[in-house]
Amino acid sequence: MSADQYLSRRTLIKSGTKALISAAILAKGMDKMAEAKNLSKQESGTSNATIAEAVQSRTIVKPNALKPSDRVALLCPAGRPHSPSLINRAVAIVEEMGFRPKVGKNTLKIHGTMAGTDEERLADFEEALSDDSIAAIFCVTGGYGALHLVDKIDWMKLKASPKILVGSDDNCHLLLAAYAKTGLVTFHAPNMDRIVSRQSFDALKAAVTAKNPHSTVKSNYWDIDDSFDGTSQKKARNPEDKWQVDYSYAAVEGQAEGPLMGGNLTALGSLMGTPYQPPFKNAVLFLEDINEDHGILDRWFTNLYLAGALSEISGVAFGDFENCRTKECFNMYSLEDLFGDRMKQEGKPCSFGLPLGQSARSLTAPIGVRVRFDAGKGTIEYLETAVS
Amino acid sequence: MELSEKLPGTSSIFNSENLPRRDLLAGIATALMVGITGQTDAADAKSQKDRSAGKKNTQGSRGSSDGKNAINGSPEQMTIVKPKHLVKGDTVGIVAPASPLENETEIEYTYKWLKRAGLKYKIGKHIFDSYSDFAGSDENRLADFNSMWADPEVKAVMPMRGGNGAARLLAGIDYELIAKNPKIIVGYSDITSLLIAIHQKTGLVTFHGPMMGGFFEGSYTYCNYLKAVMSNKPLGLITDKEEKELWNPLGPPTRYVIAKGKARGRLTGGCMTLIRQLMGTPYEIDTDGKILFLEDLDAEPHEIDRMLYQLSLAGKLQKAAGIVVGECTNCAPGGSGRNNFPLNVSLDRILEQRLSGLGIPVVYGLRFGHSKEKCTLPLGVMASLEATDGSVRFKIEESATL
Repeated sequence: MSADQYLSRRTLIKSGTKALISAAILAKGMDKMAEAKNLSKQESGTSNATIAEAVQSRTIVKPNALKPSDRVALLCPAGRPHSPSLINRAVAIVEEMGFRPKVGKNTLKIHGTMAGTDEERLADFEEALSDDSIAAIFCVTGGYGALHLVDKIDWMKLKASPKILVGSDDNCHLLLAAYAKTGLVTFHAPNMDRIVSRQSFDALKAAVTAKNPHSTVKSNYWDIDDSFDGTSQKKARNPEDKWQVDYSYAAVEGQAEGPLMGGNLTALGSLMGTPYQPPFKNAVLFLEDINEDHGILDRWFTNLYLAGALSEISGVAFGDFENCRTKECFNMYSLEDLFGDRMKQEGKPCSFGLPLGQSARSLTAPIGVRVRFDAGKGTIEYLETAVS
Repeated sequence: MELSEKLPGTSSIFNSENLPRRDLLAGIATALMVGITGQTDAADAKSQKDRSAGKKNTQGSRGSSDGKNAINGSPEQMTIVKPKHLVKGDTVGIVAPASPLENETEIEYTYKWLKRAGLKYKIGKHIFDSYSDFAGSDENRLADFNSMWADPEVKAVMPMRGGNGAARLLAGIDYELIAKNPKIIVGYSDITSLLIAIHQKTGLVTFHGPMMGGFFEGSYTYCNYLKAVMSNKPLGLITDKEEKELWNPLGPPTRYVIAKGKARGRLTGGCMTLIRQLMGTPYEIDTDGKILFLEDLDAEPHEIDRMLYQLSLAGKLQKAAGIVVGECTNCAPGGSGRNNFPLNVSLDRILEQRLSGLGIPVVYGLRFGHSKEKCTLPLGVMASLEATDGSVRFKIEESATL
């Protein structure tokens, strides 16, 4: 595509964005100007104490729980949404949760596969970070591009005023980098465009609001409310029917305890060897990926093994590997075989098929909170709350 | 292919005395080679002189200081160990540390072409095994690989093909055994992990080049391969294959200069996916003051971008003296057949974005990597890169073998 085409297309979309956003905001009676004035007033001073605390011992920083009518920024730090209506859909989801959405200015910009240039996406993110009225950042869609922001975002600002950060897929770069740099608990949940079931919706809402959820992730948990996404072809499953339940497979049985850490395997692999590599010590690792060949996934898992991460962690919970396949591979084995054999060799508890990741049934996994993982039963039990 | 048939011998290719007696066709075809030979002789003498001159070495701009240190053996630099070059009658050990041949009878071509080159062969016990898409279990592939280094009869360890799985062996490789028995190892693609790990753990010069499954793919590939492993002269100036069919050029533009400049340093590099796979591990690539060469296969432009961005976050690109990008096969948007995003940017744009602002010379489009016609590049020897308007000189200054 030529530069001219790019430009004309971008300006076209840009005007569309403005109309869309203002429509969304006006419709719900939000005053845009009032929020803009709220910035940068109560910054820095109060939060220095918490920084010093966190630096001294690698303590976990928990964001505040979301209250009804808190403001939530909807951003696209990575790819652009496939259609502008996905933004409207995200707005609707956040409103149904009882929060007030604020759509980032540049969410519908187009720059290659990304939602605007690095500067535009960064500007949105930085604006949300410095706006004290915004309590949470929800990512609208994955794609590619969040890695470019990892070294540009002022993580100390996030540490100073902790916010809830929700996303997955490519946005996992941000979750893991935030956790590595600040010790902040971040939330791995399907991006807004992939929340297609009541189950995912409820799990996210519970994780960001409930002070004391003590919920458990079970492997055979599947209950899709089809009415939530009219376009979905998936049929609702009946958890009572044993034929319709997803079973887990434990390659190595056992229990493990530690901070929950992980997410997208490709994203985790891209942070290896960089200053943003998350700490593996004693972690219960959970991994997921989407649209990837088994051979490539085995590469990134071998990367973790060679880096010694698998001997540092206490167990691995494999989530949903949606649409991951053996295509064009010569006699390729399943992920259960490949990863399971490695884990048997390491002797660390591991099980497959937990509802974590980006599929329709995926639940929210807060990165950094202490959990008890039982590979044999296929459960993850939260030992503390994710929010304060 | 015809060229190679005209040149059955190996050492004779590099013997300029034989040239006048050759027929016209072979003479034209080898003209390039002779040019290289002439220059490399001089280069060899020069590099010898450089070595003896020691600290007075002032050649090159940015990479020069690092290169000088390496030659003088400063404490943090490893000592470079060179394998002996192959001569006719030597035995090569064929192993499959990654994937097996998809068609087992293809190995007959390998036997035939090895015979033509005057080499004997020995095959590993497990090269036709199968475990997932690997040639047998990790233990069996490892046993094959280590036993080839231990075998005194085997003068070179030659992987059959790449694919997947070589990196799974890295923790089990007997590096002490390799350090005691320096041998030639040549490979690309998945074998990159072995090349980098062995080079960095033992200091052995390893070769990024065609493998047993395809070193006879093209005349350029074949001649460069034999020149690298069967001669102890520096490879000299890297020249491109003469493009006979210019109407429909395949692959990237030849020698597209992304950033101008001069650099001198030891060579390192390989397939980007594998370089990424070793990040954060004890085998992580060291690019400090080196000329880094990169290539890849079946990766979307955004995946290349991800890998390059990771390397830059880790400071690997900034530390390099220069960067040479080879052919990235099937790396155009949608080329990999997976993960293609709408409106993906082109590979050329990605390379420009990621590599042009480093302040070091960067060239794209040399013939190495997964293309049919590829040259052989030794890891660990001194090389120089000069990229100016319209001309690129990429020269291997030091001999890679004894």
